[in-house]
Amino acid sequence: MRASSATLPPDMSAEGRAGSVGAGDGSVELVGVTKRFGTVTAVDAIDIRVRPGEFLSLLGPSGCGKTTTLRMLAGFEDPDEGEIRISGRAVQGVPPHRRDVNTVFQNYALFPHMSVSENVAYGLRQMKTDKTEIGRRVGEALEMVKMSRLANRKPREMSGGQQQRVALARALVNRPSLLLLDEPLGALDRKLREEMQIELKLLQSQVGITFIFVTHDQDEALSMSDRIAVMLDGRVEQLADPDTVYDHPRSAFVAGFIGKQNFFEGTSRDRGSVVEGDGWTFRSSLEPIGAVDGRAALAAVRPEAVRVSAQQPSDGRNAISGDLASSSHLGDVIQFVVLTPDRKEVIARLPRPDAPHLDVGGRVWCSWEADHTHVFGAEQVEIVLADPARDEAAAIAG
Amino acid sequence: MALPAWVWFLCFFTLPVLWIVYYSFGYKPDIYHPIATDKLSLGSYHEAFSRAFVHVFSQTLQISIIGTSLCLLIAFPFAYWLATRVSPRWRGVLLGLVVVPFFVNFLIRTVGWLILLSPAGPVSSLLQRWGLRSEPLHLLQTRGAVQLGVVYNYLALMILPLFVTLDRLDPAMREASKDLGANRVKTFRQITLPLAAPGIVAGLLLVFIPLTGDYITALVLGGAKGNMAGVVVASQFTIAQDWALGAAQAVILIAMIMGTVAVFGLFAIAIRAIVRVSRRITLPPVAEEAV
Repeated sequence: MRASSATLPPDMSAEGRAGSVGAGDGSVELVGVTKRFGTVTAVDAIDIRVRPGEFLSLLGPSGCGKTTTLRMLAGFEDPDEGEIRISGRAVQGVPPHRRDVNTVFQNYALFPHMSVSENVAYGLRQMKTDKTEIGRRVGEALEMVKMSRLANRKPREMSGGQQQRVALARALVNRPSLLLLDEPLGALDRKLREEMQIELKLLQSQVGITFIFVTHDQDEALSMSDRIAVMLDGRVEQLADPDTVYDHPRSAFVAGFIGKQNFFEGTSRDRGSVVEGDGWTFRSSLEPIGAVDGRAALAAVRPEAVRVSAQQPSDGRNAISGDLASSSHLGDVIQFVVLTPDRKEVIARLPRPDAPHLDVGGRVWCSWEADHTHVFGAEQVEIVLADPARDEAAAIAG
Repeated sequence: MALPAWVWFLCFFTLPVLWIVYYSFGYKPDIYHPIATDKLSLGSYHEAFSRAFVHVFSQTLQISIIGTSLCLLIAFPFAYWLATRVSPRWRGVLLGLVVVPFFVNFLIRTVGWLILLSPAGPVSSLLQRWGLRSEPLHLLQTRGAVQLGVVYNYLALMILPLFVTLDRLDPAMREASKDLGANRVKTFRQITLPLAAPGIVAGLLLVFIPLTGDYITALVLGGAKGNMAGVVVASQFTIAQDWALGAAQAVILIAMIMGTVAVFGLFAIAIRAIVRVSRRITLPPVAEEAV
């Protein structure tokens, strides 16, 4: 069923670890899975189905349960409730060493007393693989991650990016049905991280193994995933492809966590198609989520949908005026920050050729279309207002 | 900056040892003088290798090797459990309990065992009360008492370095090993043990060296049957006043310690070499890649 398997070298396909549980097509099902640590519910009755050969990201702030979910798949934690099936086989009570699953750990967890090739050979040796076969497959795996030249190095003699590649080879050489990646790019600098994102995605389409990738970095999730499961407080807020998650967030949290978002707090009218605030009224042509007329609601618009002009727009777009607080280069876009009279910041991002020349401190208008305006109901307001703290916590947790 | 340490070492370690070596070639001229060095000879060594002393030396080596091994066997599971299973809060408490005996003087600690092990003491009377023994148990003045005493006195020196290395060992190492298909036993053998090796070596040296030279434990608990080389050396200096013989015995003791460490060291190096060779992977030649 893997669309990409046609491009595989014949012996790098996911054939599974002999005799281990979960060998097969690499599909994953979590049904009502719950995990508690004392009084804290880390994972709260989640349902996730992963297709064979899919690249799925678990995205969320720290403490959202994404790492716990990964650890349950690897076998380091047992769920308190619910069932986990890998390749159609229930894996409850199966210890990690007997699962057809391999993990790329957050800080790589390479064995410091072994060379690169010995690290990569570790899994094969546990299976009593023939020595020449081990040599051949380790050689292939190192070639795949372009690390053949450093086969005799020790982990401490390598950079973070190189260790990352070795960790990947060490996991993939076993040809698991499922590969788990726990924030594997978190320790790399920005440029290297972007390179590795592209490489990782390419590699995944080559080997056709199911990847489940844990991250708190939304750019990473957006750029690599077939689908993203956005998690918050142990639950899956939305499980969809990157476009859907970005353009049609199912909750205000998803809207705010994925990409930047301008939120306006007001009152819902006309079955959520209008949000009215202090001195502004915004229309939305999108399906409102959880809005109840007469009660608090949030209008949300992405910075790239906002246009900035010196004159008041006359074409019936949603508009709000304020003072231009700053305009700054973000590489290929210009970011404007506008302060409205009630001290609210509105952020607008325009591609450089389209950006107007405006004087900082001058009065400007921000405007956007009704079909770029999302409306979320009152119970979401609280989550979004708590959002900056979450972002911070996620950044600290790295 | 390292100069003061060197001066310290030279004055208070190297020179005294050389002094002892020098004395060991001397002789005892008469009962009023402990040492004379006007004629140097190997006479003291000849005497030191007499049958009675050789017996003490071999007994010392047995007690210290068995004692060090027992310390390792007791300390490793405890340190492993402490580093991996115990919550950080209780870890501090338990480590504190390990160190507490060190607040008490070495001699006092050992004398404490005199009370415990005496024929009228708690161990003996409990065994009698439970009907396991019909008469008082004579544990003191035996080799067993010395063996017990040295394990008690040096156990903490094994636990502490082991705990430090096991505590520093990233738990992700063990998880990675299991993730790659190794069960608990294989993970212990291939990951935990080699990575804890520096701590094991440190613990073995910290226990073996002072234990072999120890004389307080043997003096208090051992009597004639539990004699150790340290007691014999001390008595040459203090009671017999034959410094040449005492110095020769001290040199033999030092040589014995260094020799034992060297033998076990070579043995460990050989094992490590075998493990490395068996782990080595020969990769098939690859075409030079353009990176």
